Amino acid sequence: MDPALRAAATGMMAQQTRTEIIANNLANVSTTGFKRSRAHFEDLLYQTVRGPAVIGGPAANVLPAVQIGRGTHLAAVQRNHEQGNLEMTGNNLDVAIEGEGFFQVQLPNGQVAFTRDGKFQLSDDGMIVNANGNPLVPQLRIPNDATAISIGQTGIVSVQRQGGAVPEELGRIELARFPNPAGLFAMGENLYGATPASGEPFTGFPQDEGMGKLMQGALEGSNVEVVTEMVDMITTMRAYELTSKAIRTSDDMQQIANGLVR
Amino acid sequence: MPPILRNTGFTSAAAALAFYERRQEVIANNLANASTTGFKQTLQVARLADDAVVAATTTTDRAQGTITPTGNPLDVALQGDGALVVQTPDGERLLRGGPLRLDAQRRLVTTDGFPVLGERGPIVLPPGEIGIGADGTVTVTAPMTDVAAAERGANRARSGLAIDVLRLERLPAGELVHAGRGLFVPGAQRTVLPVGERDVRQGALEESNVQPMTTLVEMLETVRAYGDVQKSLSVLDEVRGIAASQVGKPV
Repeated sequence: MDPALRAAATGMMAQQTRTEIIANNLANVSTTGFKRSRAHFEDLLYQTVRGPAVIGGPAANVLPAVQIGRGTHLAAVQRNHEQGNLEMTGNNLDVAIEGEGFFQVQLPNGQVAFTRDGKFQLSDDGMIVNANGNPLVPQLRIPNDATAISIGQTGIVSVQRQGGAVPEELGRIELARFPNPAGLFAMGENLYGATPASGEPFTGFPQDEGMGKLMQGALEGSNVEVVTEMVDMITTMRAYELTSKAIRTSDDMQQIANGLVR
Repeated sequence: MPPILRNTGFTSAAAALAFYERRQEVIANNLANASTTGFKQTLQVARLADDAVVAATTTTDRAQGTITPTGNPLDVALQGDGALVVQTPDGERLLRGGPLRLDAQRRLVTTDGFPVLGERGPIVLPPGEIGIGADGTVTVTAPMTDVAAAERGANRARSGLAIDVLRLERLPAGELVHAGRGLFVPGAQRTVLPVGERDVRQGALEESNVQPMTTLVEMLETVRAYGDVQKSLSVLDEVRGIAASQVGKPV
């Protein structure tokens, strides 16, 4: 019965990991641009405890092989890139993506990271940077004498300069898309990195060929749905309890077996 | 003279104990996999061998698990008794779907990195939006790189380019042989799933078909039955004890 104990233990560990992931989702229920994750489990190798066998006389009495599984293991943690709710903030450097795509920002080491968090600000020299000061790619510099910044749905950034009659176009925000966004590597600070699993990014302007459109003055909320997470948490907890019962029962059986000889 | 243990209650009781122990192992595995994608629970049944000893056989419950939408384009669930064909180092294996991904060579692979096979072998996908039809056709809608291309494409039908068709096979008749990681070993006779029966769901996953409450009840039954058998074994032993110590005693 030791294998039963072990199989049940793998189940408890699986549910524990699932709880950790749910807890992280719930903790990020108000994180801008956060994408929820879910754990994906696979069964472990099966042990063939007995091959196909013929018992008794007649050939018809053939028993198929007996295979017993040995539990479960965490195969992957999968991120869900569904759209989060758009929240109006009125801040003119807050930009949300409605649809697919990621903003690109340059990290201090030169690497490009991807984010759905469009809470931008200006650096001391007028560059558009994200909340951690990483500049947007392609770089955009807002002149000192700009009085109003407008970001269009297609990513065109224009400013109204002091004394200027018409708005002046400065550049265009580009977005990146991935064949398999679920495979992106979460770097923390709302940033993602490309991996072999996510595929190479392809860039384009907002609203072009599948890219989402930009919305100035809005931020994308977390896509965590509290009710779904709570339901998942309850089912996880029940499954945890059940597997713990399996351990308890296996132990009871061992005790009974011990009772065979007094 | 017949062998001393033949057809006594002892052999049957011992076999029954072994049977319930194994049943408990099976139940523990089912419960552990209550949230495993595409898991098919194992059922254990008792068989009477000709000398009244129970022999355990396992069968895989092929019942459909609940299909839950996930919204992830590379999640694949199958309705019915079809399976994807996957290339593993041990040969081709069958998989009930699950979260797929692209590897470094942009091949469609399982979470463990095994290529999912199409009619033309491993499926290599060019960049673009991936679509998987109900019949298993994998399409890619290529991205437009610049505005001009997007304008040209505006009038064109936005249907994707068919890359390949997923190989779908029927799960083997008879007993399913597990290979772990959600994989099954194909049988000697392999049947391609006819187009009419194909029902591939993109953006969804099949949940485990374990029913926790039923399994819990089974587990309680198992432990009680185990206790009962143990009791009967003790009684048999007492009877033997009496036979040995009392029957032969001179009066």
